[in-house]
Amino acid sequence: MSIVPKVLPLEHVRAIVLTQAWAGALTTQLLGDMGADVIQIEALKRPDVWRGGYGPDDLTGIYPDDDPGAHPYNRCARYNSVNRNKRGLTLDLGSADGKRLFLDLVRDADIVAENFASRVMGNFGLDYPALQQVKPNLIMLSMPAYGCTGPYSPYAGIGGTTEPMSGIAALQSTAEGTPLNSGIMYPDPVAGLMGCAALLIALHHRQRTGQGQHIDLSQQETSTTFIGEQVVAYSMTGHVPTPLGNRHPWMAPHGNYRCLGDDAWIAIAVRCDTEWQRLAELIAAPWAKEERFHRAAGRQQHAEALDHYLTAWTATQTATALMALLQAAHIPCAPVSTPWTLFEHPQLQERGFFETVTHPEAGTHLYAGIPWKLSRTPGRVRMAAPCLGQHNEEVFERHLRLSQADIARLVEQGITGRTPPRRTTS
Amino acid sequence: MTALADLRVLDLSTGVAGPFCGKLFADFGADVIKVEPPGQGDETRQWGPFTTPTPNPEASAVFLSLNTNKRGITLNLYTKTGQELLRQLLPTTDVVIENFSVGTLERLGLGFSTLEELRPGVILTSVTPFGQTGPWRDYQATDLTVQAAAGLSAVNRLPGGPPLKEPGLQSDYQGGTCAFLGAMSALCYRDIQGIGQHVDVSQQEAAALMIAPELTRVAYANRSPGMRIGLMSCKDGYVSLNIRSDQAWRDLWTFFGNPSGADDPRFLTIAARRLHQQELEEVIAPYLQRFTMAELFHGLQPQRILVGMALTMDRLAKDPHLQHRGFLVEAEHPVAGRLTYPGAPFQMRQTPWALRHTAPLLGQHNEEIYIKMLGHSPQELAHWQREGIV
Repeated sequence: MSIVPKVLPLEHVRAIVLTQAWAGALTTQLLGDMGADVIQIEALKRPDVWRGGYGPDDLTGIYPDDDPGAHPYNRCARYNSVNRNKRGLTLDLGSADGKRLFLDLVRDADIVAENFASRVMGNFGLDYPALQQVKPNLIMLSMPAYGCTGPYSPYAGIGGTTEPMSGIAALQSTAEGTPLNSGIMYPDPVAGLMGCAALLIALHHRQRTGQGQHIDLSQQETSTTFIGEQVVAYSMTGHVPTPLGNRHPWMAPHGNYRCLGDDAWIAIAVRCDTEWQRLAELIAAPWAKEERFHRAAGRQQHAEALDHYLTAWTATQTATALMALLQAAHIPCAPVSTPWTLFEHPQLQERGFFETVTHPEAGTHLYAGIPWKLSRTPGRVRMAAPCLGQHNEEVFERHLRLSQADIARLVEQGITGRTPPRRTTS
Repeated sequence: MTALADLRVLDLSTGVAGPFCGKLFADFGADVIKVEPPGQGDETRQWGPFTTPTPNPEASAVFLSLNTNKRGITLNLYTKTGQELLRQLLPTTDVVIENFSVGTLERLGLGFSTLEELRPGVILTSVTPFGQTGPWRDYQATDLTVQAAAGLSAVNRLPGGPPLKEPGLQSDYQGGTCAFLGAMSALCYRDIQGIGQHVDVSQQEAAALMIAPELTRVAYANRSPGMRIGLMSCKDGYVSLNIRSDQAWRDLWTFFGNPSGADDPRFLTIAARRLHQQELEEVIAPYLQRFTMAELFHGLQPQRILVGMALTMDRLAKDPHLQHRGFLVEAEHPVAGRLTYPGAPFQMRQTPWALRHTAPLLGQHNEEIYIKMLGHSPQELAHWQREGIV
């Protein structure tokens, strides 16, 4: 078993994807990471919204060194963060030619994925039954905000609106009790992971039976799945859970505590009384020996006082020194990393989590890597996120057998191209 | 027909991340045999809430939700006989899931090379807080500390507040899903090449993937605007609003019954509305108070103004859309009774998700596996039970 061909696990798979923004884009990037040939199709007139705008009103784009450059849509941080290992093609699916070429691509593909609002593919005449005409065992993933069926299905959504709808926002709140969204449009990456799960399941099934299928993924539901235990708990007790902040139903202390240094914190979670005894010995102050803190129930009841005392202890020490001390006593803890410090994280560095990628227009940077390691066929970053229409010629010529003249005509008609038409800001 | 019915999975994991990975296999049809230590079983059996006033290992919400569709046996892997019995299960196993401390399986004589000898093509899936390698591999961790170590808590804070974790057990679900993805990628490869492998998943890395766009902002321009956003109060709860165009802004004021409200010079463009978001929220706050969450949702969504209703668990349980899609399913458990479970995380048209049976009682399938499947005698099983092996 020592000689293994140097291939990637999904090298046999081709995916034609219309995914945009984050959720769908992450799903299809993961396929690319595992070796699938992912052809990302965008409309020249309406490129992926995560490429940022390009008018004076645009505040969403963040560009290398704050310089949008001549083609901001190729330098936008958000788009480039979730679209590596894909080839980029622009194609207007609203035109007869564009639609025909799309169907030609699908004929030769294994997977189609999209995360438009639920009506869009039907409006193009490209819903699953239509695509199945050209590719009978096609696997198609649709991942609209609220799924393809049900009363909310016509409604569009983004992470900021599906998070409250999933039940997650109500589980976290301000001190005043106002429910809180995450800072990151959390339902997007959750749906992104789950979309990939659905496709891999479908691929395995197809390999076994030859049968393709359509998958309907609701971004609301995938997020609720990630609080599944709360659903069962509510049906058990009938109690609507109270937002806990950094606290925990029974662990105490449990929180992020101030440390020495600028905005430095350490996360500490004490799971049981013996862990508390070990921590109390390290603290070695009279308060830590107080009887009210001996048992979990007491520490819960007096959590306010406990946090107050513990903060006074942590605030005079650095997070790294505290971690060494507590981990030596087998107490769960970790310094709070930030997006600024994470690139320097010793564990992530040692494991080679971050990938250095050179993008033709954005330059060389570190990116988050592939979150699972296969011992024999690990994923690999083969390509940076594509520039808009970067692989047009390659795909048109090699896969669709178009001539230079055919391509020139498509460009003239605005069906494909590399430069989006100037957009007036609304 | 289920998609993964041809697969057998040995789920040796406890807690949340590994069992969630096993649940995805089980819920899509694999025969997942959950192997628990005799006595206490999986640690989540001790976590509340319970159906009963006192802790009941057969009625814990966390355990019940994460172990649907699995068969359950008990086995003490720290005994020679226990290890031998596990080895006997290997020849028909496709995937093994584990979350022991790093190196434990090797010490038990059950490392990947041994498993592979017993079952060529087997896929060993390890999911731990920090992965199988690196200086932190042995560190103690919980969901709180993993979220902190991954940068997730830092982008989820309120202005001026401490780093704040995502609610529930998010880094466990993230890690568990990535473990499933790693195992399934390895299976797709095995389907073609017939070769298995060891999948190494770090929950910290899974959680760091959640902030990939933030990381790229930092790498590009040293900026990371991640910050939590409080929702807005309305008549009967809270909503989030997303107004994406000037037309949507005018439509919002028409809906409020005050079209001229859209003319406020502070809020005429997308950029201006973003810049003056605080003031904007103050201006629309009294109007929102006149409407319920549902009135805002159903009134504004058709006009492409995006609304999120902050559904609390009681409202979620009654949400007509989720009901129409059959997302919440009820099932009867012999001890915990009739409970509601989250259903299909995605709907596969040919191979639908199904709740075939609820989580196993501790050791529920011991006879079925040890006697019927492996061919041991009832006397042997009784002996192992007395010895604390099963």
